[in-house]
Amino acid sequence: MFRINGILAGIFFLLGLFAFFYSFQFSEVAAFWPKFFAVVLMALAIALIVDTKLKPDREQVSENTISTREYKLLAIIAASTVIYMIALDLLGFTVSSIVLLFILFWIFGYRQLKNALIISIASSVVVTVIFQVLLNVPLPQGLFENFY
Amino acid sequence: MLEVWLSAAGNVFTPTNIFAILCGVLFGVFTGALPGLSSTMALAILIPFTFSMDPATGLILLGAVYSASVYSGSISAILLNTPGTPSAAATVIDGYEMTKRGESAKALGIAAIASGFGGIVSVIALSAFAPFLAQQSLRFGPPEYFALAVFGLTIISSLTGKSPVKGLLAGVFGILIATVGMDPISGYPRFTFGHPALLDGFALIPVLIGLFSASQAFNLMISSKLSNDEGIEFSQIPAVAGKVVPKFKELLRLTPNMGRSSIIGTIIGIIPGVGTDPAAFIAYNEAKRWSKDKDSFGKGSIHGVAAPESSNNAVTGGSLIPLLSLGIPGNAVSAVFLGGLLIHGLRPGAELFTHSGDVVYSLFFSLFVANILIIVVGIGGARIFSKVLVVKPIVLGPIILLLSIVGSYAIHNNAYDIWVMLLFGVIGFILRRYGFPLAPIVLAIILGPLAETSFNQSMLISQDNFGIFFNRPISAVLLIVAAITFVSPFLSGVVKKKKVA
Repeated sequence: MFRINGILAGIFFLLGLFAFFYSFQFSEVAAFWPKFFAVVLMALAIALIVDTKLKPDREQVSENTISTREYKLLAIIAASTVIYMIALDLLGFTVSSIVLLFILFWIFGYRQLKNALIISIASSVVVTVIFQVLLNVPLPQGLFENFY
Repeated sequence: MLEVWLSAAGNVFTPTNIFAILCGVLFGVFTGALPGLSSTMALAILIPFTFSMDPATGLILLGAVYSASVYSGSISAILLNTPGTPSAAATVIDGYEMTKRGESAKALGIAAIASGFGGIVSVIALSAFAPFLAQQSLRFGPPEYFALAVFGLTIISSLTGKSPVKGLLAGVFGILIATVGMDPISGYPRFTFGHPALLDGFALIPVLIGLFSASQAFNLMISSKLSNDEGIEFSQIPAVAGKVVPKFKELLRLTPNMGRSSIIGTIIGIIPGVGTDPAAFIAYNEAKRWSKDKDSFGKGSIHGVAAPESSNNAVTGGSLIPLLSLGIPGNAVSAVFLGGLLIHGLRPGAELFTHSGDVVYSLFFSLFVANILIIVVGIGGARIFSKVLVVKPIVLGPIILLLSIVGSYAIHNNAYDIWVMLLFGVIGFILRRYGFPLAPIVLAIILGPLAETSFNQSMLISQDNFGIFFNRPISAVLLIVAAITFVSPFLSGVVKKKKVA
């Protein structure tokens, strides 16, 4: 766990360092709070390294908590969501959601095509009806503007 | 006072609000029953649905979900030997033993009755103490609010998980996140990088949805894929066997235990930072200590199911006491509940009870109804719960992600909030997997700005004299309590080690 915690502590330390120096641009009143907690963040990042060194077994977990494969899968989900957001304006909420759900079912191993399609359509339509019709929250309709 | 309650009853017993309670209980039962879905996630995902509702209806729905999801963690604990929510971990001990003995229906029935009982006791305490405590907040000025926020933030030390440093890091990270946007005193833009959307900072709801719902959706999808690739089979769900309703004599024997456990749960709920899981274990241990038949515990004792279930549901009402009266969320679920209040422009404290008394008392009354409904649904639906548990995580993951997306979008009709949700979903997934608790981040995002504003106001009043925090009795006492709260988890660790040595 030392290597992972070391990397995480490094990221938090850099974040604190960035927040601290960036705060110099702010007015004195506005800078006090972020500067103070940026220093605390850096101190805690160092404390994490020291704590892990002193008690390496504290968390009782193995070194590679997230595998490369898991990171890849996470990236696929994030990328699918970004593409979905781009498609929203064109295809509208309902159609984009059906496609997103179906693709995610397929990628993540739910291969019963008929069920996947039914669940994708049913979920998207139910969510659309709840927000658009029952709660009066307008959702993007894209090409289907004024269709419902 | 009677008028207030009659008005609340009139408000709750409308078709819309009764439907909201029913939907809340069913949704709560569904999410709580499935391992991997938590009460926090259930609430976070539902807040956007309440946005366009009447505030009372919205809160009634959230209250019902909160109570029902804590109860239904017991369903998979009893049937699958896996708690649906962490709060049901203690129920596994005797609940699953009863299933093995062919008494799963009775265990489910007792869990429902005990949960409803605990919930009702805690709502009585909530109705009695919250208005009184809120009244005291009228005596608060900026120094007191600063001390209160510091007290709320010190709860982080109790929510740290295995590594205290990681919990504190998460909390401070949350405080820094809350500094994004305009400075509350001078309006100076901080960390906005010239982006107008960041001037108001990160909106709370997309952050909550990202941290608790989207990250959970990622987890469900990824773990399903890995299990699928490795050919891991999901456990078989046993059929519910036996009679659901326990005998009247058994219920009578359970009453003192349920009463004691409910009081324990309510008190623990009031104390910020402790939460439902320790409450359940403490009540279980107390039930065992007081029992004449200690040996039956761990072998399928009905008392071993009733105690944790009464206690963990009693935490729900207890945790709303500091939340509604002082604005202090004692755990992640109540922090999310606070988000539900804030989107309706409701701020905890005396004003909430004076200006929006109808909303608050309707919530209280609805919690009584919701807990009664939990008993009815729990007993009536016991035989079909095993069907709910059949739903596969791979089906749930993408649907939760879709709900997270639409929920984030719906608050401001703005795609920017989906980006925020996605960012915090990824952050939440990574941090959780590396052992960082997420509750401190939310607590800090909520309390950080309160602390900063009241600190700056106090400094203006006192002309930069820190003595203002210690010269005023309420502020001084709160800061002392905060110091004790902060240090006690670390000290108890040291004491335990010495005892072991």
